[in-house]
Amino acid sequence: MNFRRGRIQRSGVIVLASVVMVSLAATAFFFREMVAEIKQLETAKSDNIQWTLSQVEVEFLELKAEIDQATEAEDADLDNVRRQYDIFYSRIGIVSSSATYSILKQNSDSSQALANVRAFLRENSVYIDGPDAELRPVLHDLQNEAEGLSSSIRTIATAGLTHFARQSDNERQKISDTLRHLAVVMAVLVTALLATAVYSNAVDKSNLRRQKEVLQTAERFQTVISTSLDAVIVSDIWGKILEFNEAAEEIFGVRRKDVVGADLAEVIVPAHLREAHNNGLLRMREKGERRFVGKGRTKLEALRANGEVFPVELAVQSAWQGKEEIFIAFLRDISSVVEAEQRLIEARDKALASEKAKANFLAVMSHEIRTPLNGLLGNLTLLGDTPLNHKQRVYYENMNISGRLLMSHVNNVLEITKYEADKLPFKSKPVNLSALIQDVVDAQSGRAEKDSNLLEWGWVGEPLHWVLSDPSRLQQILLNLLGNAIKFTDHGRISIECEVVDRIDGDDIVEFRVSDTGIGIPKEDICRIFEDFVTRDSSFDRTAEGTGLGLGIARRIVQALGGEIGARSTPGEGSTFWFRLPLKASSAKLDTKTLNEARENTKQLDILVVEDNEINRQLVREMLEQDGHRITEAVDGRTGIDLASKKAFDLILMDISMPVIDGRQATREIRSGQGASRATPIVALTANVAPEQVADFRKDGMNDVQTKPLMRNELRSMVARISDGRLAGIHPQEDAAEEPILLDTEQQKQAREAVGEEAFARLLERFCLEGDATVSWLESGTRKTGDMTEIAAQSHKLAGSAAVFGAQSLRTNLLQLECAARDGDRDAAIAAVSSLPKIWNETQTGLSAQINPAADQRRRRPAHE
Amino acid sequence: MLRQLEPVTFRTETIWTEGEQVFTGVPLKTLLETLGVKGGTLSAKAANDYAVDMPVSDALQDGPIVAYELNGKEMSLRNKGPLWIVYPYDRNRAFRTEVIYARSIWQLDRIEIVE
Repeated sequence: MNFRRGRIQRSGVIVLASVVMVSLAATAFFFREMVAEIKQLETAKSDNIQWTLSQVEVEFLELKAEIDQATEAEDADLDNVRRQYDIFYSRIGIVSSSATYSILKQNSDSSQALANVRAFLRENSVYIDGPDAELRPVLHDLQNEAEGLSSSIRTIATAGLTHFARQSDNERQKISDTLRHLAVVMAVLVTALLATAVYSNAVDKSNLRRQKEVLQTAERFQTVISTSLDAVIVSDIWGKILEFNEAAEEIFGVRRKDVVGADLAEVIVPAHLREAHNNGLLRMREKGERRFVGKGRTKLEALRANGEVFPVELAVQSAWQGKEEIFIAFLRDISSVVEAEQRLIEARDKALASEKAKANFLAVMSHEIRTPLNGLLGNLTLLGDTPLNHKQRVYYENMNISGRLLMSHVNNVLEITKYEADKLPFKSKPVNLSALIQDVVDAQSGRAEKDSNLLEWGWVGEPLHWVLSDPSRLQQILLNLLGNAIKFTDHGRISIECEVVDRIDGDDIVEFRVSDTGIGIPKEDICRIFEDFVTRDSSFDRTAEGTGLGLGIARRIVQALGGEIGARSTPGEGSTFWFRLPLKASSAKLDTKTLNEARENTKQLDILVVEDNEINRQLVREMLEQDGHRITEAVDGRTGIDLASKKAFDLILMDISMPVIDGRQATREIRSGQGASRATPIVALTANVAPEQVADFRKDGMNDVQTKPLMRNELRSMVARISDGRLAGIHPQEDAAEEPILLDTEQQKQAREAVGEEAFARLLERFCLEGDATVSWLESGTRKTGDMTEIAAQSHKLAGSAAVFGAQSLRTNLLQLECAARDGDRDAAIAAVSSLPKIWNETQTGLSAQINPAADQRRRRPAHE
Repeated sequence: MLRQLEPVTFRTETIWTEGEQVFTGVPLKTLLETLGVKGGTLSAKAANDYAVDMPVSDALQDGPIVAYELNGKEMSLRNKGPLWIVYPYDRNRAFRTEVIYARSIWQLDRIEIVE
């Protein structure tokens, strides 16, 4: 706006200036003309012309009078005639020769008249110049001739008059014109000058107004500066203080009058920064380099008058005051802010540290509990294999149930600590939601039936089949919710409903509802059931057991997957637990493609499925048949053994828990028999995945374990391994003969990730101590006819620990020892134990080499009690 | 008497003649100094009864002369003689005014000095 006004003003000035210039030029021009005119007037081109012309007539008349006089008297003096003649002659000479009178020649009348007069003079001069005697006789003629000239004389006298009168008129006209022009130009000039005056006046006024505005702004600015809460210090490029406001006085503890003009460095810069400050100013003066100016806020230290150095936030801007650059620094005392920040950081660090300590403690404790618990359960299994009377069998069963429950609680706690530490990776792969839910429902149907519960599931609205998600996590949530529902429902109905409820940013929001007709949850509890360690009132004693972590885990998973979870309930009528997840629809085509590829890549196998649960059997059958395999089914162990003896299958899938002959026994019989499939790979199907059981299964002659509920991809990759020959039919003895690797780093890595570095190091330390003791005990115990059951138990225990650290050789060795001890085969046991110390040493060396230095350091500390 | 005074000669045009003329005569200044005239007014009269007054202060160095020769010849009464007070008109703008033209008296008959 100002800029525009300025431009308009400038163009106004230009127009006005041009007018004045043109006027001045015109004035100058006309003035010059005037001067020329005046000069012309100053120098007369002629003397009095009219007088001269009239003098022609006067002098002619005088001549005539002289002639008349001489004519009348005989003796008249003729000299007067001569003299008057000469005078007249002279006059006519002037009129004839002077340029002034050339006009007479231009007019034919006057020209003729002049010629007449000159002829008269020419003809008569001879008589005038002659003696009196010759002149006197012609006087009379002269008189007559003169008489005849009168009209010519009159013509000359008057001809000039009209001409010169006109000329004079012209000249007057010319002067008057020039004067008029001059007047006009003067008028224009005066107008232009007036306009200039008016304009100057306006400019002057606006300048005054602007000056007033500037003054007001300056005043306002001064007020702002003086009332600013930030210190405002203005300095020149030499660091001399020009301005120091009240806030600055307060912050730095000096008076304005004492510091204005002083060196900035001396007043506010602490000694240790002074050199840098001066160098900075020097650089700015010499090279124009700027580190702070116009660079926003910076944190620095400043000096108070009492010598205290305190933190400030600083922003510097530069401005030009005429040709001088000045610097305006805004400083804020942030000591209290910094202090508060520091306190906050400390508090946060403390909280984090204690949180971490808690998580570590939980992880360590869980592990510490798990190790003896594993021992307990392992021995319990061994106890179960011994002959027991009915009462003992019941106690054994009770102990087994309690022990496994305790184990699952401990595992839950471990899992929680993993979530806390954000250690659980989430996958994203195509999942068939319907198949996944069906699997979960199938797996839980047995438990549900046990309490006479009806379990069902279905879609509400349009079903969504293929999505991208983490199937095992999704399954875990559903299992937790479903497990809870089954736990608190008796003779009721449990249903899972799925519904696409919304669509946000290309994601389908799928709601899963697990409803039951169980005991329900009181209102006051419902808001905290997703917190950790919350258990419902256990008035139903065993039905209400639990660590209280199941829902906490479910909540964590749902949140980690970007969803939400909740519950509603009416006590006595039932509960509905729901969770919503944003899921991206995935094309089933992708799966078909993988399927086809799998079909192409996988050899078509003859597979025997031994499984008493019909639904499970059908599921396995369908999955495998889709991949082109040929399936033979057996509904119990006995049928399985019979079929296996008749036909050489490529693969046998063996359910573990079956009535009459369970999977383990069936496997042992197949392996020990002479049937066609005695060397066929056997894979256990079980929901129970305790590691020590896996060892048992292997011992029974099983090659692998597949956990239920069966997942298509896992099943498929397992079958692919079989068909690749990577898991060729191997008898347990052959398996043992194969050289196992010393350390399975992958296993170790997984364990380490699961518990964290520190806990892992402590566990390792513990393992080493335990290993040293156990190995030496086993060595001497075996050689000195020690208790074989104890030897088997100790071997089993250490083998379990060895599995955690991926110590495969050690584990295999210990399992051989365990096997021999349990069979009471002392020689085999001694053979197995002979290589134990060497393997133990190698394992220990290998393990300590892999522990990082931090863990090493940790190991040297006293063990945590 | 005029012939005995130091003469000067100059060339000039006049408004009464055609072309440049050569005048020879005695500077009025010299004449007046010779006569001891220091101030006052001169009253000049011509044969044709023309009369004009001029101040003595007009008689400047390089100013008017009482010419007795025009173009090397004495001047007759018919040719504005015998004496003619002429100014060097070409030399100075100030000599080209009507007053000066009026004072350029020809057929000079006599000069009277009045107080």
